[in-house]
Amino acid sequence: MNLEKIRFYLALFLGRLVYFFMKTLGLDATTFPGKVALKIDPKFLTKIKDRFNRIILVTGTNGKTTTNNLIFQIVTKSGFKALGNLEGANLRTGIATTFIRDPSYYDFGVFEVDEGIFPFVFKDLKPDYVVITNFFRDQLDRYGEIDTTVEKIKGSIKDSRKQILILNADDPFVSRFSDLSNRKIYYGIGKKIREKDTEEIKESIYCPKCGKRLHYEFFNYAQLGRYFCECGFRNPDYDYYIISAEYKENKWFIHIKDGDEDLFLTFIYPGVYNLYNVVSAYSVGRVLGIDKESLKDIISNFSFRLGRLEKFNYEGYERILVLVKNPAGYNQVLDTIKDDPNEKVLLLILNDNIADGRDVSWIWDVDFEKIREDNISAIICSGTRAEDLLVRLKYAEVPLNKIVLENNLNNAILKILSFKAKTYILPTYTALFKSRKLIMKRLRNGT
Amino acid sequence: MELKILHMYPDLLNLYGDRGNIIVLERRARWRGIKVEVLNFTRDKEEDIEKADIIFLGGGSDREQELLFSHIIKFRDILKDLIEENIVFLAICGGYQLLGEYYLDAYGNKIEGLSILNFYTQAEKGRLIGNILIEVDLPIYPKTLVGFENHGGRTYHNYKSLGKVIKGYGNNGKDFTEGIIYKNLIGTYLHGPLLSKNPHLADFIIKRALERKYNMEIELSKLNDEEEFLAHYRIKERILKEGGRFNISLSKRLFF
Repeated sequence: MNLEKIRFYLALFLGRLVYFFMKTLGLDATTFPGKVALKIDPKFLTKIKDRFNRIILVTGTNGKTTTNNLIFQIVTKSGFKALGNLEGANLRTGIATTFIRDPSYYDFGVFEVDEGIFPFVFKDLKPDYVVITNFFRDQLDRYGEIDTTVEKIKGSIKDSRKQILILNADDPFVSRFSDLSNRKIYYGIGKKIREKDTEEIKESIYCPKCGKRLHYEFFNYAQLGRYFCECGFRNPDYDYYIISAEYKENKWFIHIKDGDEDLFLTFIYPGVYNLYNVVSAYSVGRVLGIDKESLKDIISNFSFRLGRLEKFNYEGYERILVLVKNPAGYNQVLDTIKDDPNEKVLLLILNDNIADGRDVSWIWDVDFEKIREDNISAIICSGTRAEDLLVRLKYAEVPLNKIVLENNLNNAILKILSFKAKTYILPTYTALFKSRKLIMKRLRNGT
Repeated sequence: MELKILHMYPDLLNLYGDRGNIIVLERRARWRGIKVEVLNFTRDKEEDIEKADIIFLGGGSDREQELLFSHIIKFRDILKDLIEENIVFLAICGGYQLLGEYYLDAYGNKIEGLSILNFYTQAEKGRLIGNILIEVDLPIYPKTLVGFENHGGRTYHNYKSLGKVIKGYGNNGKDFTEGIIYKNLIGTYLHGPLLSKNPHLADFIIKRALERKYNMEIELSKLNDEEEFLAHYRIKERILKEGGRFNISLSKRLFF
């Protein structure tokens, strides 16, 4: 056994030790064991690469976790053995931890990767497939501007041609990858889904080729839509796309166009953004050679834990937990709330820890004006920057007598659950797990 | 009374929630019964700049700033004249840098600025990121401004600065100055929705703009700013508690 191998097994062994230790103590062991392993063996990820027959990486700003979970279920339910970081720990430490938990040999590695560190993970894991969802402003204090992020990801893929890219054709940022020489598969939505359009911040409505203003036939979600430029830049042709979709009876009814064939499936999570997650995962499934009918069944029966959008029932009312982390995603969630005809209450939680982004300026790009005159009877603001939310709501002219400031998250959760009404709880990243824990605790103690 | 706010290139210069400043100015004027009009000045729709009472120039990504330079340069002389004639002007981050002579990027390339003011900015190693607290040199109370900064460029100038850095970096992280004041122009690295947690600065801007327009002294009616100052003091306390060295000693008047 050479030194490198010894180092690897030592890292794996100590990582596992830390993992079981943390598990015993009931700690959240999603990143730290990996951190320990990477400290001992910085080449840890490179060395686990050969444990996978094929590797799929999912990156972009929004939709990574849902897409990754969808792909994981598609692969495993088709009979493959796979490993994935399904809980959204998407830095190197998270990926390493995922392996430490279940070291083995796999058909597939299915990993979501934070867009900021993608180039490094790409170099380590040399994936076979790369799925890119979209690019929105998110935590700019960590990553600099979107352009830089896009260029870095592109630069890392450029030198190797073996990857198959699965790209969102509706995002002008993503279609910038078109000039790479890799094989490319494009997905998208060929129709405007939500007719009630509201003005939202569009990340880039300028042509990446010539700099002129992009024209849009329609938008579906922030800058995602049907665009074209005088210079010829436009959506690449779809390989797989959603031709229509309707949300009713608590689920999406989706019509996918796959070549000349039509496929009808359902999906239980609301929001137009979830349509993109469905069609991207569907495209991956097709690229992997999985047949349409199986994909239809897997996607239609898909559900997963974790607050990307999680529903609880407490005292007879639906309590919905949704992660919010950037304006594009937040606006989508507000649309969903606005479209919900029920009387409801909201808990908004804004933290500014490093994983949330220390800069909370982004909440001014969220259109809270949308919920100004809605049938929302109370809004609680919480988190380390609750006051910033309060000010934002004041300037959105949401009536102040509806709003309560409660910095303490525990109290805020108790208070919001005491309402006899449909509830939306919107935490940023570091408040998500804590909120979930507190809700679960209440569920156990309560009824 | 009426007020016209000109928002320059809202479609391109809109990083970090900059538009929050327009929202704050518009609401605070409207809440006082002042009729406000926001004019969006873009490459496709050139509003008459001379109609403006307040001009706002935010920050954009490098690519976006490059895209608009060939356009804004055509209006350089009008902007310069208006600034000399005491127009109320707020420039943030990239918009602030743009007013100078040039920006020297990390590769040593000189990127031309509007040369409305005589200063320059240069990229140096590391970005200056974090919460910032400054003591402001304007006739407003409280004397502090809070915000967030995130910039790679360091600005050096000999004008009056907007204030002294108590915690954070400011213009260049070296001389403890932050921002610039020239006549009624304010430039600053406190980016994004600066005015939301600094309503006293927002009111100063509105007041100056009205005084210039109506050529008389104006006393703005009081608003209830409880929420805004709650946010202001909350983050101020946090910044003061955070580790690290103070740039200047704290004077008593900084506390409420």
